[in-house]
Amino acid sequence: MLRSRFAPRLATLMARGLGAALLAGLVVFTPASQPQTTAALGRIVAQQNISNTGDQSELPQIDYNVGRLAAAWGERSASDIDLATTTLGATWPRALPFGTGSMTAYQNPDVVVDGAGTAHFAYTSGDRVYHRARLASGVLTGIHSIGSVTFPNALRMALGADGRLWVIWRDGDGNAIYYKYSRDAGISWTNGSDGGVVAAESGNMFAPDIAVDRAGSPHVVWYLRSGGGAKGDIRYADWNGSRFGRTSLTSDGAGLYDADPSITVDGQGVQHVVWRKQTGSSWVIFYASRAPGGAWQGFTPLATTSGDAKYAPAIGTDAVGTVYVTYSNPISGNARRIELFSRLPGKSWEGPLALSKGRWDSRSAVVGSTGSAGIIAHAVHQHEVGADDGEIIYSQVLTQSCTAAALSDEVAGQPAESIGGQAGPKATQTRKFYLPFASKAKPPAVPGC
Amino acid sequence: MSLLLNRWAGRAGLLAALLALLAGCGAAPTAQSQPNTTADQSATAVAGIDQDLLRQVDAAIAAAKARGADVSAAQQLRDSAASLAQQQKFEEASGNLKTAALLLGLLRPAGGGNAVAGADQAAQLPAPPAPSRPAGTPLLSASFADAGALSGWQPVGPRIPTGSPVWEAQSGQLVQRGVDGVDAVEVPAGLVTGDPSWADVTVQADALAQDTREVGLIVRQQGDSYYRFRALAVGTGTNSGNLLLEKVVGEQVTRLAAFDGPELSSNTWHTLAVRASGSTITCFVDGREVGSAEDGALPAGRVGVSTLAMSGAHFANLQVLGR
Repeated sequence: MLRSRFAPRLATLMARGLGAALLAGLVVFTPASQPQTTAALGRIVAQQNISNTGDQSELPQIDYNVGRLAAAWGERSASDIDLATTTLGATWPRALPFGTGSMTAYQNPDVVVDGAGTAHFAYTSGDRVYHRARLASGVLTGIHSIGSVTFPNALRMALGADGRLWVIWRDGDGNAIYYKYSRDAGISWTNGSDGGVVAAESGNMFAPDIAVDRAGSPHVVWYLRSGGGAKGDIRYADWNGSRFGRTSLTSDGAGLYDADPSITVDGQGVQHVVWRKQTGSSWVIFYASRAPGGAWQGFTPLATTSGDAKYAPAIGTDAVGTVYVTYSNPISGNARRIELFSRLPGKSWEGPLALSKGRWDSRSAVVGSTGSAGIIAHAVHQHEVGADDGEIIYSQVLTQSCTAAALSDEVAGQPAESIGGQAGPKATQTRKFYLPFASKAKPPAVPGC
Repeated sequence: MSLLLNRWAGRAGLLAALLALLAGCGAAPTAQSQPNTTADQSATAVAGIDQDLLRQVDAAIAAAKARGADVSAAQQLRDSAASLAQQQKFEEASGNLKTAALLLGLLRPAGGGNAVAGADQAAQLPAPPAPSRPAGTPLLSASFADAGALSGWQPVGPRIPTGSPVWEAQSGQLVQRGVDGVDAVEVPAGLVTGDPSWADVTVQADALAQDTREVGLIVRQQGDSYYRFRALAVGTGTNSGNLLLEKVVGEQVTRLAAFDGPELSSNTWHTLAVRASGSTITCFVDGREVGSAEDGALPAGRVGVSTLAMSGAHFANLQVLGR
């Protein structure tokens, strides 16, 4: 049990229903305090309130690389962008506030961690887009201007394996999705032959997201909020080395509204997209993937929401290609919680695992890590604790321990329940229904195990 | 064929053998009470879309219609799947067909959970109570019968640069539908009507919070200035900090008072009221006075309702009473 760095907020958090889970800042859950799950996936091993302000903390993002985690979000009243960084397994120290003057309900930041452990964050303020970075040593770089447009918002950032940073955003009217990239760690920014426009079309382009594949090519998704017959269709654009080319991911029209796509690319170059799809009065969390050079396939409804989805789902991956999805699901009454799905390469989807109990948990982001600690999902979400007061909650979910990975190889072909009593990992229980019968396929190698 | 078996059985050798045996016997596809998941490959194995699943979807839709059930969403998904398949967009078609099957209970979501967890909450909403008749001279009684009922209403609140708050009036209710009808932006959104000269009035309305965080009322609105009573459905979880009286002047929000009281219970109609009398603003919940505050900055103005631009706020029986 680790000591809390945020003692003044503890009583308030307890009273506000976050419960004993956050009592010590970063807490190892006991079974009694763990949110109830409806399917086996893993277990929450730690949670922490990483914002700890009386302000409306909102729209968090998270990234992981080389043993370092970084999260960024907005603080509404202060018009700040906050950045927090930590190392895997450690508590999050107090976040660094940056007085950016951002209108954070719309002008959210994003963050990526590079191979040197530097946390790069980008944000918008007024009519401009900026980059800044915090080195692993803690040193802050200067502020670098990326570009300008009328009220840039909905910014997203990605990092290629070649070290190139990419930033995209939309303008206030959604007339275009813009981008810039940097080959020098964010100091200077440029664009291709398309003038820095991913795409421009009528229909109010909304909710862009970006991911970079193993070849260093970025892929961008967004949806059209209006736009006649294309209303509620998801678009995507691929980089051909000098410019983006646009086409459609969904094209089933306005009656089946697709919104808020989120994209990630795994180590094999496979793109994974998740979005929310309106089907009558209910919503479905939808997923599709696309192998390098291929077409979108595997259109799959992952989950139905018990009411209005309201918020964008999030997707992330890790070094072995596990795909993670988080989304906000309304539960009984005026309460919403964040739920997590994951899928190991070649396996079935698992979940949902409730990352919270509510009462109002809305926006989220997720990324994975692999190593000696196993396969871990790292999620952040926005949690409301009062009027105009939201917090950013970090959750760490052990989806598969190293020993579980080895064990699942050993017992392939046995009835899963029979391994529950074996010594060692609890993951043998959490994953017991998902061991493939008569499959000799080894689970993915876990680097560091 | 695979719909005969649940996902666990599908992975078991013995039952797999049984599956093969049944297939050899030509057993007809049948939807079972414990359905497969939408991730199963059977729904994409056939070129185009799965004809077995399509037949089952059609049968389920027909059966539901015969029962008088509303399966319009499933029908739309089914029709979309057929249309997409004709356009050679088989993968998206298959996804929509699976979703239709999901809504009909023929398949479970790939990630688990209930097949029809997305049941329409709106269908479960209680009807608004009959309007009460508070004392005073009636100045306004809003019907919210249809869209035309909002012709005299105007939005108030901070500008949302990414879209517009949507309000709908239908069947006696005023409902907030988020931004552009699809987005949840947690910033204040109000809708006002009436006479800018109204000074000493009481505004009363029944309000229901369904998957939203607050509902409220507005008095003495002129331009971007007004008093706002916020009743939180998702508040502090305690008996304080859930009932807020604020003065809004432009972008400046001043909290005049925070009254003791619990959060509003969800999916329940509550009667909210605000009485403006001279420089005293008094707030009520379900007929109980929760508190008052003194402020003379805003002497007169229109009245209305308040919430966040995130959909889920319902209002009915709005009345304005003079002395």
